[in-house]
Amino acid sequence: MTQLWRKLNAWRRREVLEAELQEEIEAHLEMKTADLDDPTAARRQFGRTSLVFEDARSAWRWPGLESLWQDLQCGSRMLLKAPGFTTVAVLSLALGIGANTAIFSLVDKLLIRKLPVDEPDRLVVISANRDQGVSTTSNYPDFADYRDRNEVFEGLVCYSQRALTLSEGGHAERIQGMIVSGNYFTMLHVRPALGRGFLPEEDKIPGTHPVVVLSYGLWERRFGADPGVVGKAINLNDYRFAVVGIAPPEFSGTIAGSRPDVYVPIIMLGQVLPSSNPDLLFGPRSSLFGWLYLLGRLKPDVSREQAAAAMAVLGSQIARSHPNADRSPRVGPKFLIEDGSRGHTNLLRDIRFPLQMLMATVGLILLIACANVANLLLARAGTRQKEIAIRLATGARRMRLIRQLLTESVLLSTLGAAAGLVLTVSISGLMVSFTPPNNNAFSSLTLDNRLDLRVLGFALAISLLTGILFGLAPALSASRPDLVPALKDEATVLGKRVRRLNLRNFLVVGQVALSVIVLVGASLCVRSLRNLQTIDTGFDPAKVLVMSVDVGMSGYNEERGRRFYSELLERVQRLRGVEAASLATQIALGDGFGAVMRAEGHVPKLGEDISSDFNQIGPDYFRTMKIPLLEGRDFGQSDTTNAPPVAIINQTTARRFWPGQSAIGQRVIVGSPPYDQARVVVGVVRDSKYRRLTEEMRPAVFTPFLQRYRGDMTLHVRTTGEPATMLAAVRGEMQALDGSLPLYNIKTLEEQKSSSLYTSRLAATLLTIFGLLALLLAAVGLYGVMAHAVNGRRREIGIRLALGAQGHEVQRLVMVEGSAMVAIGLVLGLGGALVATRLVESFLYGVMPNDPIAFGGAALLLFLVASLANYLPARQASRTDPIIAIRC
Amino acid sequence: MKVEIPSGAVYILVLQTLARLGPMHGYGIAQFIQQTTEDVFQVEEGTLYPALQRMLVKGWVKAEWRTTENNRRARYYTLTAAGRKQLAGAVREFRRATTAVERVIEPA
Repeated sequence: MTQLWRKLNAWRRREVLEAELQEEIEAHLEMKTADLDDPTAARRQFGRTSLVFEDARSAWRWPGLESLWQDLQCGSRMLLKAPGFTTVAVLSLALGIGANTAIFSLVDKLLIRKLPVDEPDRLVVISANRDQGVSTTSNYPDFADYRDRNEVFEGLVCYSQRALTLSEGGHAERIQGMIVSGNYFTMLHVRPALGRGFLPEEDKIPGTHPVVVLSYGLWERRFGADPGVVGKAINLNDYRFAVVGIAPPEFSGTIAGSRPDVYVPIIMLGQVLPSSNPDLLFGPRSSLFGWLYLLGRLKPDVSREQAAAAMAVLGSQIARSHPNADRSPRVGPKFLIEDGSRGHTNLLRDIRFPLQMLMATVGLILLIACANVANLLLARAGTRQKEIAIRLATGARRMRLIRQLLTESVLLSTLGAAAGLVLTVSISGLMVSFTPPNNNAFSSLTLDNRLDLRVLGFALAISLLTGILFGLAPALSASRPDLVPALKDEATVLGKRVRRLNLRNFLVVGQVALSVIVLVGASLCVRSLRNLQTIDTGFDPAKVLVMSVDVGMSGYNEERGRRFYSELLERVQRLRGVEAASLATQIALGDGFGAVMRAEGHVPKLGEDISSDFNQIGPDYFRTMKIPLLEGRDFGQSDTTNAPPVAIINQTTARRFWPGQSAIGQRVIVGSPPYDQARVVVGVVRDSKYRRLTEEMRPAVFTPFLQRYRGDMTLHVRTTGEPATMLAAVRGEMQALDGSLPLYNIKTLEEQKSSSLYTSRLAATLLTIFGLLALLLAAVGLYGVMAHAVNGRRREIGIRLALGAQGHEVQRLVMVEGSAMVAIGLVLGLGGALVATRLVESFLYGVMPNDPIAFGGAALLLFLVASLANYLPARQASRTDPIIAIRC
Repeated sequence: MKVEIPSGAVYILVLQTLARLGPMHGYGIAQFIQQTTEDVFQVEEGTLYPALQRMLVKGWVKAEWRTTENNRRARYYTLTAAGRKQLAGAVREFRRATTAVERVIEPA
């Protein structure tokens, strides 16, 4: 401590100390000169006084800190003095770093980050083998038994996401609710930011404890972060719930990619979702009621394998004492215990691969950008050779110089990162605009593009890393010049120049190769997207507007709901510009809904897949969708609960159960016991796409909404003109009936179709941007090297011209050199792309990974741009004035 | 024969010199070391002055400007109490080390 104090004191007096040292050294030299009688010898023996000073100064200075400051000052001056160089370098880096940070921001949030809870590594996702494959969900009674009777988990929770309506102060809003078991927060060790979590007694008797925990986000957004909200009651789906706590800000549930607004104890299911099937809580233990995700916390000394074995024993005990109502095989003996440190990741199924692909791509972009800057720095190192030689000659140490050069490059990359963050914001904004279709009441993927400290940290880390990466080679080679020729201003001594150019040529070849790979990937994704967009949907998505409403959540009973929907249809159909209108529970190309369906009398073999797509629709649905009715009739106003149950099936179903004969008049059984019902087939419609554009034709069954009421329906409106222009009118009719109903899923079917391709569009769009970026960077790199080479060879070119060479000959000479680099890079890149694109094969639709058009197109584009980058310096070379060139 | 002074040893040499001579300037210290070690150790000025500066900051020596016998201004260094303590410790350490080395070199 006293040492530090002394040093600080010395530093404060550094100017006096320095003057004294100066005087002392002079005295020393005088005395020595007097003794030796030879001033030159005295000085020679003393050594370099500047170095003595340097060393002595370190006694009262912080040489590291101070020289860093000097380096920074000097670096900034150098950058300011070369604005062209600085601009190109900073822009290159901004593009590279910005693209990386944007992709990382999503990758980190969705794929990397663990749940913000204690010891997330002990969390496991539990799924069971059921009749058909693995099921990630469980029914509630089974969960309760697992929770109470297992010996391997410290705690076990279940949850499911459901949309809810929050109506406060006359304003209704659709929010995301997480229905959770009462031990949810205790098991996760999540301490609420305010208030408390759920108490054990609030998890016992259905309907007795109406309590909720709000998410931090909803609390801020809807309640202005008012602490007084805790203890107050809010209206959820027309039922009063007391807010007991606010979840911490960093916690957003346990389903990766979702952001629940409110947590409701599962035991209150009947109150929060009054229209839900009461059997969801205490009904039969069948997979039909598997609706809950399970997440457990392993005891400290229990492995996943041990847990799986213990659960298998428990599972078969439970299955023996509770056989399935329909005698179908129950929970298989196997349990899967998987990593749960990131919660449930099912929502990420479609986006995981494109994100990984994009992350790899931006890595390549960063390499190309680094190569660019390294190239620029190498070129500059050439011109700065004299400065560096002078420094070395006057006693600068090599390490010190390298440090100074690295400081400059890190300064550059930090500037690049700062500029890149601007780009990050716009790229992540673009990414988030590709929203996945979410048209049902369940969980939906929410892409979150907010920048946070981790992302900023990543940008900083990446800029330091790139600064060192692209700065090291130039710094090493620049600090090793041949002093004598460099001082004599002969910066282009042949041997030296060739070696440095080799490194630069190598960098350009690498840039070309990498950008070819990115370009090929981009064109493959674009071609794949084209193919996807031209798939025949089986319906006509143009000019159809959809809009969902859930009157059940606003307290409507069945009678009032039926009246609402029938009046709504009447009003909308009367609107001018409406061709047809109908209702449906499912929007095409959304998440879809499945039901078990078989022909009456058909006994399914064990393992036979009798699932089909299922939609409850109003009359005129097929006319609205322009799905041709092939046989029979459409549903009418008379198909009500008083009439015999009817169904319309698609071609695939008809062909499957009644090949070669008419299906009209036959009977199908829809649903699983105990909810199965026999229905008469009254119509057959053409096949269409129900969930995904890429699905194979699959069985589907439609039942009339008038025969089985639902509170949540989606209005489908076919317009004669542009559908968006009808939006206000349709919404007006809805609000004329009840202005307090929250509307959701307001979009056109074209938008629905395009959002169903969001992963492909995301990949194609971003890869195209990145591909063009890579191309631009590589072109700048090539141009830079060629221009510099031409500049260095001015004298040689001048002599050639003076001796009679023609301009175009000189031009060809230069072009050949550049084209050689491009050709090598192109070949390497195409080879690399052949390997790399095989990895993305599963992502492509209707395109082979070695698609000649994609490869050819990428190669051609690169060749054209590279030729331009090559031509400009070559033309300049051919216009060299020999007189000036030789004289210089 | 001239030998490079092992790093760290320069402190002992300088401190011991000051202990022997009393107040002395840099040039005198260098001369003294060279003469006493019969030219074996030559303290380079490039080593001496930085070392003196460090010792000043550490408080082992203090400095004041005086005139030499030849009527020249020079900075004279004097050992402080802390410097004496440092020297005693360093000499003890050094003795232990050299004895150990000698034992290895001449196993008797």
